[in-house]
Amino acid sequence: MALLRAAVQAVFFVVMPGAFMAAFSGVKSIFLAVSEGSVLELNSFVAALLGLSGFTVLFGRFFCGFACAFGTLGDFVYWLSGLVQTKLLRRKKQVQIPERFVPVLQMIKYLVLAVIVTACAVGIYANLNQYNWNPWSVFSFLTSLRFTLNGYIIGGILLAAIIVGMACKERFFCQFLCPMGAIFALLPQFPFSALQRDEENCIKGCRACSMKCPVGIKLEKDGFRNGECIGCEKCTGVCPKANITRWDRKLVRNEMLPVIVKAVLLLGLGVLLRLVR
Amino acid sequence: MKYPNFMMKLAALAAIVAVLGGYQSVASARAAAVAENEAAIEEVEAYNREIQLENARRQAVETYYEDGTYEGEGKGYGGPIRVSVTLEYDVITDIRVLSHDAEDPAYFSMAEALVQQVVSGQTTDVDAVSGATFSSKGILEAINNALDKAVKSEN
Repeated sequence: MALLRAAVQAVFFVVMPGAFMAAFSGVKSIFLAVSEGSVLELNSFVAALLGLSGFTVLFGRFFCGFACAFGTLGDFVYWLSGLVQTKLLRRKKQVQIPERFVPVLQMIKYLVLAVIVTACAVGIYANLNQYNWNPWSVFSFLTSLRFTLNGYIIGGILLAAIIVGMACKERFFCQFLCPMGAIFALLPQFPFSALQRDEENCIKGCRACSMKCPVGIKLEKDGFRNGECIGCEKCTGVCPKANITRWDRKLVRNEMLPVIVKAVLLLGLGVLLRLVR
Repeated sequence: MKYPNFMMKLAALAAIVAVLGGYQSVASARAAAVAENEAAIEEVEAYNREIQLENARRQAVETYYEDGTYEGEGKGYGGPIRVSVTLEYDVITDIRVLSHDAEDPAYFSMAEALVQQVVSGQTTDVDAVSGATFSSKGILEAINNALDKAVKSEN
């Protein structure tokens, strides 16, 4: 399952690395239109926003867990940092941001979203942009294999800082800073899209799933009805009693098939939205 | 209520969509009024341009650019963008995008709107499209590059 996830992530990283940026540019495009008093258009960015949001409402944050290029970067950096620390430096455990800070840090992304949306809506976003601060732009140079800063000094520094964060906490950017993640977390995701945990069947005191969760969801308390869940499905593999499941996994008696079907659907959506290179 | 969290978020989303929908109807009504005015203004301006062009033809005024169609190239997000610019009596009458092979399609289609802005404003001094900065800059660079080639040699 871990291998399948890595493979799906690799494919989406190569094929549609700009999807998360296009979707968030859709948000910006709406509020920039508001600031000018002009009519809202269904341009390709807004289409990307609606498409990915619709997919998330239907299937949960599968895009975040399996397809977002920036999330994949985070997973890769975290994995590499763990490898270096345990194998090379012979440390027992990877350096971690303490769990107790996680819920507070997760609130920052809503602030990031609010600041950007407000800046767009009152018409000061263009002034902000002249500082070339956007770390996603620098990331987009890298995915197009141009290893240049293009004058994005602040953006480069921010991206470097984010990568350091990614090395210290799994899905650092996604859960703490991503404004698109904030929107996905606020979307009403259909209850049947979430994983279910059969508590009656749990081993008493077992917290394996919560310990494994990259975004710090306390499954024994909150369950899965939580916008923070990025749908990575890591909890399902770690449960000793295979207690975490969903209707589609039960239906096909297989954990891989639902992932493959969703990946193919998302790829089709990407072609439709012209997000595929 | 069975799914309080879902219902709450659904209500919030519905509220946002309703607000944007309200905005949209106001903006549309305003845009329709503006479009009516602009159509009238454009009619007068087109007439003026024609007179100007006619005068220039008759008097053989010295122009800055040589008439004709010129190709130009600019650096976009993933590679070169090529355009052709047609000039007549220093007026940009047409711009066509010839190739943009290395641009991401969803991004490029956003930046392409700038071409119309350049023709109607007769200037390449227009703002890049937010989110498609590099495709935008590539298009403008390509147009400027074509214009540079069109400058008469004595200038």
